[in-house]
Amino acid sequence: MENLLEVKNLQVHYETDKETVYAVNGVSFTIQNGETLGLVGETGAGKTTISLAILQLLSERTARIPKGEIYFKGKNLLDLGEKEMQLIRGEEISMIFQDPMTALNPIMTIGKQIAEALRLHNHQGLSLSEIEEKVDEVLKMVGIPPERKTEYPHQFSGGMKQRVVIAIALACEPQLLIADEPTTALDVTIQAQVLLMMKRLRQQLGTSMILITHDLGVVSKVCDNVAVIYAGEIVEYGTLRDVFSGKVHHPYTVGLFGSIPSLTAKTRRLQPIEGLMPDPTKEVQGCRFADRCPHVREICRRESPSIFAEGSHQVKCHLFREEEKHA
Amino acid sequence: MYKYVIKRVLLTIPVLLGVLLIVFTIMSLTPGEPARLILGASADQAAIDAFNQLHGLDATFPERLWNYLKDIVTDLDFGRSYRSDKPVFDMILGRFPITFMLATLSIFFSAVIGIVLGVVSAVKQYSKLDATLTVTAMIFASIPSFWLGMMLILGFSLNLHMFPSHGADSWQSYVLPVLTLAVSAAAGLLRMTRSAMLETIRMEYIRTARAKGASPRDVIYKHALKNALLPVVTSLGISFGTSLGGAVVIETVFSIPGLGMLIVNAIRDKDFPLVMASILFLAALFCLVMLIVDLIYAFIDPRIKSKYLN
Amino acid sequence: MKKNLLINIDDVSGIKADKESHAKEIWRRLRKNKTAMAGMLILGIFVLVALFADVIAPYETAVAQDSSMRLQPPSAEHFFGTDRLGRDVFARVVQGARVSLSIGLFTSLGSLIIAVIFGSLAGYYGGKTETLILRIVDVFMCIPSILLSLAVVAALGPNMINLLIAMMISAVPGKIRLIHSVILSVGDQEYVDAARVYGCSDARIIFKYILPNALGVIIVDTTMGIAGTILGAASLSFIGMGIQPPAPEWGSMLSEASEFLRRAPYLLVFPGVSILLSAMSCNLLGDGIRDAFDPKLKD
Repeated sequence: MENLLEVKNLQVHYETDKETVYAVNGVSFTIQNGETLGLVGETGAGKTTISLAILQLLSERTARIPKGEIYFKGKNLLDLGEKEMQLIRGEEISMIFQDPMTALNPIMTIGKQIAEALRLHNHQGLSLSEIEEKVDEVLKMVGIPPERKTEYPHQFSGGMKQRVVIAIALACEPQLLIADEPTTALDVTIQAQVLLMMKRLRQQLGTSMILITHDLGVVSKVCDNVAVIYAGEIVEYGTLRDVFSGKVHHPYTVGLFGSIPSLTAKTRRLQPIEGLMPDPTKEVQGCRFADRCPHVREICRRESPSIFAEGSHQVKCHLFREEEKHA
Repeated sequence: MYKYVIKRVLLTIPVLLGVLLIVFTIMSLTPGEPARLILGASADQAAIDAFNQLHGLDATFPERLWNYLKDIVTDLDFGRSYRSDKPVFDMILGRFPITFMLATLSIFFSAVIGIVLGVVSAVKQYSKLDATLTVTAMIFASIPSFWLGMMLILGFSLNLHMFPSHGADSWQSYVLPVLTLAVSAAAGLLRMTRSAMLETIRMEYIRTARAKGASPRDVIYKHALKNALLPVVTSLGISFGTSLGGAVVIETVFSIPGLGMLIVNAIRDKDFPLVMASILFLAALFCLVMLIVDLIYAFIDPRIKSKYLN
Repeated sequence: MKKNLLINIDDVSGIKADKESHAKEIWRRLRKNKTAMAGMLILGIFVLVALFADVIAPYETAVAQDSSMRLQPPSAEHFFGTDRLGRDVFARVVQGARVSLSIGLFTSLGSLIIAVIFGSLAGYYGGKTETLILRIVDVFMCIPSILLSLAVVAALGPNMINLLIAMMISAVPGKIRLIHSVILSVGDQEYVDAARVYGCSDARIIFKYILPNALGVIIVDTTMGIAGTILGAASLSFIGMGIQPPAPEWGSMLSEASEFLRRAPYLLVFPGVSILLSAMSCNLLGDGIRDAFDPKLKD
């Protein structure tokens, strides 16, 4: 099957006159039609930067992409100009932002905000009333009564606002949806509702999705593939099964799982990962996780680890290279 | 919605009463008897008693306050001038149009200049133009307006003979004073608009609009501008108040026979009823403008509007 | 466990732990801001001139009249020329710096203290106290500030002390509103709740937890307030309602100069530029401090 999206060795730096932040350091992944990829990691790991890079919405002034390619349906998005990107944004790739409270224009009715997406990509030449019909349809799809389209964002609850945001993103039936922590700002009960709805709509429309989250529970319910990101690098990548119940894991992934409570397993105490992420303004010689790694060795500080692969499962760690040798 | 309008209008009444109370209290802090100040130390007791009775000064503070308020409400009577014995309200009405004209014209021009340049400056952030505009605005915001007025007189009246240096006889005589007042107000509005615009551009809904596929231009004019202008409406109202105060000073520079000149001369003459009524008049006008601004705001901001719709 | 928390209460707020590095970081950002540094330099010069005014040009030279030297243009003897009474304008400008800067400083600090008291009362206790204070502030804010000052000076009579009182009365209401809103927004933070839970007294919470975290806003407002006061006081003196002659004050010097616009335009230049530069230096510095405290505003 052809890849819908292929990100190859992507690097993103933020340069200010004071310092350079190495936000994304050589990330590669692929998404096929109808597939969902979970990007998992702590705050500041570079997840949002990756999605903004795909949409080419990074700050023009500070962000640089020194290396990498982003192929979408065979075209490298990094080669496209602003005008061409405008045609892709919203129509072929959409994004849902983290906080529904601030993601909607407070002085525009939600109906107009949805209609705007449709108007911007109106290739079929729909008339105004046809667009309005489409708005009603989209609203019904996300479970909002169409009568409410003349209301303003502040008249909706957080969960309802996120439905509006999703409606905007799905209005043009994009092939790829990037959802940046779509449920983090919502109440737990609402979270489940919104996730279920997204899953249903995705199946209905056949949309592929990148789901950015730090919530492993959400990942296990929604994703086909998972990439664990640490300090701007993918440290473990594979199918949901690979990452959740594979034989080998990156120590960071082990740490992530150790730091969430489980009802089924006989719990010892929760194991937080000691320490903090490395300073993103410094270039790192060896493994970026070395300082926090319980299995750190001398080589980890010297050399950047290469990828250990087993079928679809990839782990970027020295641990397994050596084990391979010993075996 | 009209419920909100009525509520807001009614709320202005206690504010106006409060303004009256404050100004009246401040003005009665004067050490010594007004009669002695006006009639001189050598005046005899009979003349002083007559003066006090004429101006209602022979009563206690609460009584005087009550009488003052009562006369205003029932007869629009703000008292009589200590000097000319004329009703001060008539004196004020004669001068007021000039001051109002000055303030209104200067707000109009400063709004146009300040808002347009503020938006340009924000949109072109980090450019040479933005840097120039911000520095220029900073200079003009720090310029003492009366000094700017004198410099303009020196340049455009005395040297170039383009505009008259004083009076209010023709439209030409308004050019320099309006320019003087507008420049500093425009500088303030530019800075305000610029920062409101920059703050808005950083909002997440701007990113949402970009993610929909809107062009940067569309995003600025359809999403950012309207949101950014909301707070600017309020600061326009506040600038109007500042311009009214500024006009008082500027009238002295350009010898314009407006309310400002009247106040300054009345203070020199210790003509307290005239001073008090003039300040009350200007403060009431400012309250009225803020009331209008609030009502406009309620109509353009759906967050406030919907609160009162049902 | 509980004991531990009690000891660490100051760390909960995060202000003690890296207070010093935070201040250093702000200073580092401020130092890189060229316009703010220019403002600081100009303001520094004015402060030095004001402090050493008597060394540079003694007060007596600023008021000494010399009828043979009237309206002389700038020369080696009189750097800024002489005025209509033959007084040395340079000495008057130098002495004027002391007057203007002290009015600016005293008004700002005085009104800040009053505003902190009332703003804290309103913001912290809420209820009727808050309503009452805020309503009174609203009413004061309905009177354009220069008119309010004018009313005070008109009633009390024009002199230095009354001018200070007048400037303070018109500066206080806005500051109360600012402090109140700052206290509301900072007071909502969880570390303040934490401090409250562990039984800190109200005064301690306000002075140790809330105000230090609102310091940026307060410093910016105070710095820019000095600029506003310098301009306002000069305006009042200009229309004869502030500092009275023969005391050297920039605004009243300009008022005298207005009679000699054509004959002695240099009289206009030096006091005017002094007002402009001193007000501008405070504004530039205030702007820079705001950016230094809140760097995200610059992106």
